[in-house]
Amino acid sequence: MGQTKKSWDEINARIAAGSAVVATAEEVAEMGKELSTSEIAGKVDVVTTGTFGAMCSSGLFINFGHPEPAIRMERLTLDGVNAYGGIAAVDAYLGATEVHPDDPRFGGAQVIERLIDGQEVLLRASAKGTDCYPRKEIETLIRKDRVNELILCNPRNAYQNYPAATNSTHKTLHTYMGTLLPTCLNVNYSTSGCLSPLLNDPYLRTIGVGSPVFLAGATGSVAWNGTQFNTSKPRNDRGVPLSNAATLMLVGNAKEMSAEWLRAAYFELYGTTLYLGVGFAIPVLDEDLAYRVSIRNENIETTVCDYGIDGHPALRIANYAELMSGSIELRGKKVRTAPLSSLRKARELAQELKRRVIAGSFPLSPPARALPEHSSVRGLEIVDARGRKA
Amino acid sequence: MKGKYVLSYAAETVSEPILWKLVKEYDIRVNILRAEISPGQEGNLLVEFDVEDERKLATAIEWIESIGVGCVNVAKRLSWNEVLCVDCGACSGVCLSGALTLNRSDWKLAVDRDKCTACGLCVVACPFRCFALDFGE
Repeated sequence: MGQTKKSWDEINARIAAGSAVVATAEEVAEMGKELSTSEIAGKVDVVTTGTFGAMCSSGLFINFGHPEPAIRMERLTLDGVNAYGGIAAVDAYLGATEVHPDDPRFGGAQVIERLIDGQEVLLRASAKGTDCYPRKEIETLIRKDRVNELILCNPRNAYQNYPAATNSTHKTLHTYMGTLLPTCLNVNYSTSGCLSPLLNDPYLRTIGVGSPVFLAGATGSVAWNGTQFNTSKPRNDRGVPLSNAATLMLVGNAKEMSAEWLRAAYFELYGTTLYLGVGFAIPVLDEDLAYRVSIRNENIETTVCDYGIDGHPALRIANYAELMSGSIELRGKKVRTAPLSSLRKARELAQELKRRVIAGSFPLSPPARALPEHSSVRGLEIVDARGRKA
Repeated sequence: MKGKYVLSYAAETVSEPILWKLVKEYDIRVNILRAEISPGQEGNLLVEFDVEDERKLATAIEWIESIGVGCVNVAKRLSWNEVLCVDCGACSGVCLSGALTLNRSDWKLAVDRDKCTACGLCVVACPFRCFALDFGE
């Protein structure tokens, strides 16, 4: 493609000089109706993206600090929710989907939200007691300003696209894709469409290990590719995968995060999960990126899958303009559609990120390393001790 | 005019032919949308009243209450915690009556309690438990 080329340094110099043009992905998609790709590449320097949706694979590393006498915490709970304590003496990991043994609606996500919101949380821990860590039990109230580190570390966030879900059976299903009414009465989808971060850079040219990310209000980093990172999904003519593909492992200082951008949720009969605000600022380095970021909802497609049948078979491909309209056609019938992620919040996030980029408070830097070019996802084989497959 | 009401029956009034009387004496077209009555116990009926004359509805409600049956407009039964709501829209997909819809320009949730049929699907569909319905107390 064409002539315009800008380096990361040139774009950063424009931001520093106050002359950079920053637009949200929705604004640039709108511009794309009037302007050519080369005009957008010449005009826009940075595009901000955003999403606010359920990201189950999230959790918090906590270092509590050592009490006197010291303890090597083995089993521990936070407000009654189990945290993993098999990491040295006073480090723990609390997963968002860990649920309270007596209250399935309360879990790690709720405790994480409390901590980020500055509330006190009850830590109970026990240990066998060792010569170097003699204490066997501890009970104390912790708070974000009284622990050493709170690091949000999410193994799989920011899915690049996700299938929409429906249910052909005669029974209501309660899933991580929300309530799916019988006989395909509804379709739920979960991305912010043209605002969604990884749909604006489908080949991950500007996002890789070390990339800054807006993570629940703080500036975090891409730590690695996310789990279940998949580059083998079919793509449409705009290069957008037709179902869930790339993912990111994100980390950030949870003490700097805000409950405005991190909310605990509960999906009926499924369990707890965390709604997170995630966004990237994508530099428009050339016309190829201008083409990518100006993508509109009608150019982004996903697969509508039947969650009532094992393997979730595909029923049709639908684009996000259709899904966002409130109904799509399915098996000759008009079926209502509903989002699970908040587009209102995604828009606010992209606007907030735009303000931060313009103010110079959100850094733009090239990735230290690229994410995998080729990666596919395997299932779990059931193999016995003799190597025989079930 | 149409309106939806939850009638809550006390044990001693369940045997009265209340709906028959509403049709016969107050000219109300009664449509039962949901019923929870257990023998010898309290029960709840979700009904739609359709009347030409509003005054007849008022006197009918007066009569219903005078015989010890609770009568509460459904619009008052659905509570929505707007502070907790993030406008995700998960509720809008299960709200078949159209009471919960997403405004397609600002993507905020619009709640029209007059359309609510107290089905309760939003209560379980909402990931933030923003809705409560005290149908049946």
